[in-house]
Amino acid sequence: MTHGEDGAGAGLAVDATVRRGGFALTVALAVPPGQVLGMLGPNGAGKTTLLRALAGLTPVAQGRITLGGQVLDDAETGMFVEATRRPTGYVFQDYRLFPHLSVAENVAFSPRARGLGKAAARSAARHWLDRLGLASLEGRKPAELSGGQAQRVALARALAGEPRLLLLDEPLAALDAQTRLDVQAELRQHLADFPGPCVLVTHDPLEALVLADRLAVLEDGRIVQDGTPAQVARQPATEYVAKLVGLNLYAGQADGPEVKLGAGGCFVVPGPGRHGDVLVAVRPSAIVVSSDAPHATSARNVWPAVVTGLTMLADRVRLDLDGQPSALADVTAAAVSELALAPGSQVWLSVKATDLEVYAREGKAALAGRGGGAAGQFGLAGGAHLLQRGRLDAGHQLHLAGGLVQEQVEAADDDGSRPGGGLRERGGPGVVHHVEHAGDTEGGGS
Amino acid sequence: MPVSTLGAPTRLSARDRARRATRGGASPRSVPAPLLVPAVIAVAFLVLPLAGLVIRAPWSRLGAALSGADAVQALVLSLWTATVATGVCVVIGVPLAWVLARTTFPGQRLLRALVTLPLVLPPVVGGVALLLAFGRAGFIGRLLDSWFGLTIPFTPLAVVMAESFVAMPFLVITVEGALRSANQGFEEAAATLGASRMTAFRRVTVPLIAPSLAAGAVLCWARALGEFGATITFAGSFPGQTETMPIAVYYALEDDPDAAIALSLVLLLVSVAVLASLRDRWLRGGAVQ
Repeated sequence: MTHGEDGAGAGLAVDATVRRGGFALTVALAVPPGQVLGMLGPNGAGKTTLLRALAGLTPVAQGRITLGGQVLDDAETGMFVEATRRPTGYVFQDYRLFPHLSVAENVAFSPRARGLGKAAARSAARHWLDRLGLASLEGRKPAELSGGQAQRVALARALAGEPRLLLLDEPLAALDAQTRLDVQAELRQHLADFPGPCVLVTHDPLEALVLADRLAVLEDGRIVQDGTPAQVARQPATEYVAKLVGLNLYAGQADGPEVKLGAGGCFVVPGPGRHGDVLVAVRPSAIVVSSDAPHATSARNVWPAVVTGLTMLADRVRLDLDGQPSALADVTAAAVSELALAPGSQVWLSVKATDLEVYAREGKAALAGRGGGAAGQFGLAGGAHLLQRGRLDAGHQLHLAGGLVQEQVEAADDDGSRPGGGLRERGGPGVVHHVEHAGDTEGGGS
Repeated sequence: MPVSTLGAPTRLSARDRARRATRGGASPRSVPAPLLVPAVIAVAFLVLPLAGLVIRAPWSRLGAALSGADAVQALVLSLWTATVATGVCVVIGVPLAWVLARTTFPGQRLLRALVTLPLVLPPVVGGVALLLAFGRAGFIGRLLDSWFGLTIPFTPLAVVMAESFVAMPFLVITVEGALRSANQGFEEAAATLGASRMTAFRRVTVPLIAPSLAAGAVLCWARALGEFGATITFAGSFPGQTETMPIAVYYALEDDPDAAIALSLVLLLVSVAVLASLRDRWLRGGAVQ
């Protein structure tokens, strides 16, 4: 989990325990300069506690934090750099813009507090106001700003202090869905321009996928997974992660080609076969739903189930299925009416062994029988939402949206047999085309 | 036999329906008599004396009564001493409020109790205490007298000190409450932006609590303006020197009741003005802070 080679240079290195009330957060991580680390986790996982420790608002109880080799906080030696003296920029979840100061005064606050004269602070503020497209708002009070504008002012104010470490706490959580998409693409650009390490915490996987270069998943004060968005999406380590990316996830005992699932049922899996504790991930779109028991099928895994719920997603219907094992399956609306699917319907499920992702289970992450659930809407389906918006937006935003979808499709489409293989190309003049393919792929999955 | 039975309907006018729907309050007619009667008595008790003041006022010779040298002197003295006392309370009371609200130290509760003491202490006792400390024979006053030849009692300075002593808790308590309920997130944000605690206090905290500070200052000023007991004990009543409005009213009642009433009317007017300036804060229903 530690990226030792990244710890040197101007990067951030944390290996510490932070206590707040009865809660303890223990993390070891390194963020090299220029990287945006997305800290993803449910509420109460300790994300904000981590940021507070990095900013110097909460001292660590054990361990140390260094930035560019310089100690910010070290419980063993007692060294501690006060928040005031740390080169950090902190964008708070509720922005905390000073309500009695104008936008320009808010942005000039940090240069002024860090010792610049009035004129110099004002010109530093002007630079950031221009850069973030806020020049026309400089005279306004925070109460007169829209959510998206306030978010940009908060970022400008944090950046105007010329920080070497940037911290963002749920930067988009306070925005409505439409604004979020606009601000998201912009924010990604600004984060890409930031030369130092950046830690962004969020409980919204989509936000993390779009904004972060690397994801770390925090649960109950521990990092349970750390990797690129694609890695995390392909091999979720816990049920929470699986839910985030919209996968079915099963814990089981592998014995050669078979995996006996903890929650009942058994899967035939591809490859040479493993032994011991494994996790099996299945995309909801890989599960085929039929009204009768399929015979003469290539699918190695066939089992009966009962529909317990139907959820309308952007371009498909997600079925909640009770069986051995239970599962989430994505089908088209046409399939729902053709098979007359309703809660209580008896159906047969089948999955090709090659659609199962099997990997060794690390640690002792508690797992229930299956993943998925409503959070899945934010995973793959969420990508499709973004995609549709992306078509309407300006070119560079579209590119970003496409980037996300590519990553997700790549993650989900491991056997490469589906249409839209061209998705793996990044950028280029054909981006719009690819993006539309991505939509088709997502929509036509079942 | 069912315990609950359907009661007979009563009339509910459209206006009452609207009232109940919007404010959830009942009309005065539906207030139970055991509550209504004492409430009316309370209102009468508070309002009638003031009405008496207005009714008995010598309206025809009001101008003459007020333009007397003593009355003008007393008014001027009261206004400037109350203002200076308020200034003193702001300068030393706001930092005290900050220390009480933002730090923890042993004996803090005791200190808070001491700060609040003048609120409940009979003002005359405060005056006696001031006299024993700062009087010519007092343990501090003796030193001031021998070192600087400074005598405090029975001077306008004594008036300011007596008023500050009695009025300070109003400011400290109001500001401390505001600091406690103020969003400390703004101070944290200021810290992450590189501001020292002093800079954060000056540029963020004080502007944010400005409305409470103003309210506290107005209350403090009103209390100082009305101060009587501590002032007359510690500063006496020398016309033009230490005879403030309340003291002037008290003495005028003996030899010129009309002047006393006129002076009282002026103080009543000032009080109403103070109340009006605080209306947003104090008259908007139960919450004080």
